Parts: sequence; C-alpha cells; structure tokens
Amino acid sequence: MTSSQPQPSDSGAQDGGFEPVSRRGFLHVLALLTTLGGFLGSLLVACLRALLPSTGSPSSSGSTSYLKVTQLDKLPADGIPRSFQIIADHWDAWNRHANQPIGMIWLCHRPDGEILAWSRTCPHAGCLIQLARSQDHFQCPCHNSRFEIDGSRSHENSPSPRDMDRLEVEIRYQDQIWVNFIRFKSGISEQESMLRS
Amino acid sequence: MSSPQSSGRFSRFLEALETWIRKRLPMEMGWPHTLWFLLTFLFLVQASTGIILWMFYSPSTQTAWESVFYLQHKVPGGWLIRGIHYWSAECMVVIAALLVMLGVWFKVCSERVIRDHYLALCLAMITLALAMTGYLLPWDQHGYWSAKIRTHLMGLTPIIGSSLERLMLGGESMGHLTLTRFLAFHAGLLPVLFWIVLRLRSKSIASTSHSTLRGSHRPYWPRQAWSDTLYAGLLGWGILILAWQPWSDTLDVSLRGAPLSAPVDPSAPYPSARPEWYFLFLFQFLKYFPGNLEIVGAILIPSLILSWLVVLPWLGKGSVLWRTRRPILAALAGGIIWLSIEAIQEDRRNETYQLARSQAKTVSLRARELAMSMEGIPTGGALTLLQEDAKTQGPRLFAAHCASCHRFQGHDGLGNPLQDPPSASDLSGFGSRAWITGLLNPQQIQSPQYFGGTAFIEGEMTRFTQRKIGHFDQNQEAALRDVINILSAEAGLPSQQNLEGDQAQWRSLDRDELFYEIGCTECHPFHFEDDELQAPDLTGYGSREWLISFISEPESSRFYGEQNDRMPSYRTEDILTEKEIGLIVDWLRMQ
Repeated sequence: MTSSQPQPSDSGAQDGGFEPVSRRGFLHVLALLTTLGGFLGSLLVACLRALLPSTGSPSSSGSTSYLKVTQLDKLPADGIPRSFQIIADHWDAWNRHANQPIGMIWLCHRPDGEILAWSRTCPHAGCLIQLARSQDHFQCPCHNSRFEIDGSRSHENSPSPRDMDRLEVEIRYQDQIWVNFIRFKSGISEQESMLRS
Repeated sequence: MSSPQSSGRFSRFLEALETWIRKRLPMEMGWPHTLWFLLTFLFLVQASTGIILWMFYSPSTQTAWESVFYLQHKVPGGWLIRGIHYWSAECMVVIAALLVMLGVWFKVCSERVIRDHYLALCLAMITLALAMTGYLLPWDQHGYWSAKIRTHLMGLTPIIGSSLERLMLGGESMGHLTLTRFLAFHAGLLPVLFWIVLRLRSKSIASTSHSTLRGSHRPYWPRQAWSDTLYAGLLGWGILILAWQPWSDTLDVSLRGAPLSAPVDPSAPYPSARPEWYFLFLFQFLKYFPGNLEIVGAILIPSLILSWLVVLPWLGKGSVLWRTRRPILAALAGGIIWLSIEAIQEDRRNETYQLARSQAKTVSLRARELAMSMEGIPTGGALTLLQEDAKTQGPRLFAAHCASCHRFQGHDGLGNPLQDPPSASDLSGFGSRAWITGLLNPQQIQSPQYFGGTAFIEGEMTRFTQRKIGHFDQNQEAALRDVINILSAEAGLPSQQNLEGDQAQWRSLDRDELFYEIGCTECHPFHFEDDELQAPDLTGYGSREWLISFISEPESSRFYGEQNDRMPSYRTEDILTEKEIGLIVDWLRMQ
C-alpha cells in the first residue's frame, strides 16, 4: 500500500470505512453468491465438461475389437516375428478416416503352429519396439528395453515396467488371422487397457 | 494501514485489489463506472469462453464450420459455451454503444471526461471489430455473406479502400487466409487492444481519485462496489438465459446456444443474407443510396458521425456543436431505432425474403443432419455433403433447369411461385399411382398440371384418354386401376414401398393381357421391343434409370423420338452432368 493513500477516517464521509458491514453485508454476499457466483459456477462447469474429452467414441463398438490383420500364408511358421499394421476406421473429431493404419503389432508363427501377437508399443514410454538384427530378441530404440523372443523382459532392471503386451489371436475363415487389438497404458507394471479412439 | 513489505506476487495483487476497492469516485461517476465494470466483466467472460472455443477451433475453409459444428453438437456443454460467448458479445456491443451515447448526453467538459470519452469511443470501435471478426469464424452462410458485404463496403473507402479490403481478406477473396487472419485479429490483436483501453481507464480513475479528493468524491466501497458486482451477476444470468433459451421448444439442446447456419457455399446465391441486428439500421439506410451513391451511405455519413463524436468534447462548452449535442444524439438514436424497425418490417412483408429464410433454415438443418451421420464429415468439408445431397441439390437444379417449363407442386422446386403458366407437366409424384391416375383422367390430362401447356394437348394420348377411358364401364375401370398399379410399380418409388410390398397380387394378373386390353401397348412398348411403336417405352417407367435416360435424351427413339416437344437433351447437349441429373431424379423420386 502506498503511503500517499489517505486513511479512510480522514475522508470524513460516513460510509467511508473499510469494515465489513454486518447484516446488510450478509445479504449482499448472499445476493452475490446467487447471481455472480451462480453464473461463474455454471460457466466453470460448462468449460470443464467441454474440455474433458468424452469417452466412448463412435467407433468403440462392443467389448472386443478383433480386427483382421493378415492371411495365414503371409506368416511362415519359422518362429521369426514379423510386423503388421492394424487397419481400421479412425475417428478424428469430426472426420472419419476409413481404413487407416491405427497401430502396429508383432506376429510370430512358431514351428509348433502357435501364433503369438504383441503390441509393438513399448510398455515403458510408448516407442515402437524393433526386432534386433540377429532376430533373436526385441529391442526398443528409445531406452534400450530388451525383450526375449517370447516377449518377456530380458533382465529385471529393464526400463520397461512389464513384459511386452500380448494380444489375443484367432484364426477365422480357415486362413485369416484376427487380433484383438487393444492399447494399453504405458509406464505402469499392470496391463490397463485404454479405450480405442 | 501498513501492509507487510512482502514482495510476493500475491501480496502485490492484494494491494492492487485494495487500491481498487479503496478508490474514491467523482460524484457523477455512478452509472459510467458500472458500465465500464460490466464491460470488464464481459471481457473476462469472453476471454475465458473464447479460449475454450479456440481449443476446438480449426481455421480453414474445410474445417472451420466442421470444428464449430463438432463443438456445438458433439462436445457436451459446447453449445452452452458458444451460447455464452455469442450472447456476451451482443451485450458488449449494446453496453459499449450505451457508454458512448450516455457519455455524450450527460457529460460536462473536463479533462478527465474527455479522456473517458475517447477511451469509450475506442472501446466501442474495438468491440465492433471483435463482433465483426468473430461473426465470420464459424464459416457458416450467415456470417460469410454479411462479412462479404461488409468488406465490399469497406472497399468503397476512397484511396485506401482496396488495400484495406485486401488487408482484411488476406487475398483477393475470402478463404483460408481470411480465417487465419480473422482469428488472429479476433483472438489476439483486438483483445490486447481492449485490455489496454481498460487499463488506461482504470489508471485514469486512480489518478483522479488521488489528485482531487474533494467533497464531490465518494468512496467506491461499499455501495458502488456492491451494485457493480450485482449488475454483473444479473447480466451473467441474462446471458445464461439467452444462451439456454428456455422458451425454445426444441428438445435437442445442441440446437440452442448460438446459431450455426449451413456451411459456406460461395457458388450459390444466398438471398437471406442480413447483417447482425445492430447493423440492420445501416443495411436499411443503404437502401436509400442506390448505385454510385452507396459510398455516401456506407462511408461518408458514418465517418461524419464518427468525426462528430471525435471532435465533440474538444470544442468546449460554448460551441454550437456542443450545445446541440442532445438534439443531434436524440435524432441519431431515433433514426437508428426507426431504421431498424423499418428493416424488420420490410423483411416481414417481403415474401421472397421470408421464403429464402425458410429455405436457408431447411439447408442448415439438412447440413446438420448429414454431418451427424455415422459416416462423419468427409475431409473435403461438410459442403461436399450438401453438394452430393439430392434433397438439397435436387430442388436447386430443378429450379435452375426444369422450372422454366415444369412445376413441382405448382412452384419451382424451391417453393418460389412463378409468374408464367407452366408449359409442361407438374413433376411432383411423377410415376406414383396418383400421378398416373391424374394423367389418365379425361378431365385432368389437358390441365396445365399434365399436358395442358405442351404440344401433346391435342395429341394421341389426350385423344385416347378422352375418347376411350372416358367411356369405360366398371369392369374396364377396375382393369385400368390394375394397369395403373402395375405401371406405377415399375418406378419402385420409396414412398410406395408399403403399397407394393405384396407383389403376389399382380402375379395372378396377366400383365400383357391387361395392357393390351386397355390399349396401352397399341402405342407404347412395355416389356417388349417394337420399333414400330412411336410412344415412349413404359418398361421401367419412372425408375431411376428410366428418368435419367429420359432427361439425358428425350429425343431418343426409346422415348419421344421425333415427337419430342421442346425438352432439351440435357446430357447429350451437355447441359447437365450425369451426376446432376441423378440428383434431380433422386430428389423427384424421394417425394
């Protein structure tokens, strides 16, 4: 407060004091709360509701989201993981893009006939996991998380908090490989799925 | 009254607040202070809602309408935020205008008041600029056409006009760059200017309350402070109610808030273009300045009024202009009110405008309906949805290409009545049972609804209808009804799907026998080929394919051949594309 500011008592006016007014003040506060407070409150609620993105986008239909990935004959049973794109319709706010790549997975057809699928997204920070040149383990290029060929972490103190995210695989119509594509939250040790967008 | 010497930001804020509360106002500062306070309040509301809108807004001609549509219809509460922003803007315009006008009316000449007057004038100008730029941003028909007209008028300004226009538009015409530019003006430059004016004004008050503390001053606290905030709260509720529109009977709340008309279509005329209500007076005023005089009404007279406001406080109490300020102001205000009422009345009497308005509303609702679909809006923008929509384009194309001869329910397809009598049939319900029944009615075939205006008025078909059908007995009439039903089923109209669902009823009938009995196949081929027969082939009559082929080339031997009246071959003469013909046909068959 600047010293040049005069004291309220100096001004001589009767209602010049800065003391809170008792009963009239209470009514004033009540009036203010209902009018200005009510308005600002509604505004705040509306803004918050608009800003928090809505869950349940138009494309999230049903509980499972099996998508056709490839044909069986594109995946030789040699135990070497191969990368595939997940193609699906993608909503971006007001636009719907049909048949867009929405994610990538590793598929591995073992000699014993079992087909394994993992999300290519690293559980650590969300980079795309690569297959090492020796084709015997996975490596994430961002923070050097290393995974064995079965998707498990190579060592305990790996940057990744969990093993690579396994995805369910189904063979449909004899030779089509369908994968239940789910995105998982990264950075936590439990698998927690995110809603598809 | 000694505050601790804390250098924290918060304590400095508290100090500023205390200074604000402890200030003393000159005696006559009651209502002007309230108005300034309300403008500050509205500015803060606009800034906060504006930032939210900004987070959803995408400034390009293919995404502006789409993003606003998304906010309005898909984001929960988005319509309310738009509504508050929109109605606060309207209130700001009113309050800023009131501030200037009441200032001129009541103020006396003193140094401080002159400063306030100029600040109020600047604020009013900035408010108008904010409103005008904001109006275009949704890139809907209404905003687009009023902005187009306004920039055109701006372009009339001598010397700097065309540069000013280019500066505003970011190019020769409105497009992507206009939107990015308007957004920068609306959300960047203008709010900063507004804030500067508000700061200057509060500095001006602080300086006067410090320098001249005499009996003519009274404290801000508590009375003025309470009433200012109370008015702000009431205004806030007024805005909420205007945005909420409790009187509206629409159940869908996302149709409330702020209006959003159809996406911009620069290629089609928009006869329902009108400025915002506070510029209606100017719109009406311009009607009295036709042709080259437009510049007088659009530039000269508004500039004169503005210069009057600028020089007014400068002249001092003695001058004529100052002493006559109240009558002039009253005349101006009266004139503005009278012109606004006149504009509304004139529009109300203008049937063409009313029709255009309802058409625009139909297209807006249709755009919304199409954009809501599960297919989403194509990346090319929502306009492409409308451009490929038979319900929207059908009537337009019909009005442009068919309605010079044909009618649709007596009008041109869009609902406009036409002066000339029709010279070809009315095509509403073409191919339906009712339509064919009318054609085969001896009393109706010569009416202008059917062949009345055509070369066939005395033709074979008329003769057949009047000489033969006119004398049918009951059995023959029953057979005729069967023939009509069978022929109408050829069209496969969606509206008759229920009637035709049970095809079994016709299977028992001998189609060829019936048509022969009535006499149709004497002239018309019907599910057989015969080059000798001259009349149009009735196979698939009224179906999509039949209609498209017919409109493409009525002169073909399949249809009228050499007997064709005046109908152009729309496709073979390259008048319409096949897609456009398809849109007309789809729309006709929709009815």
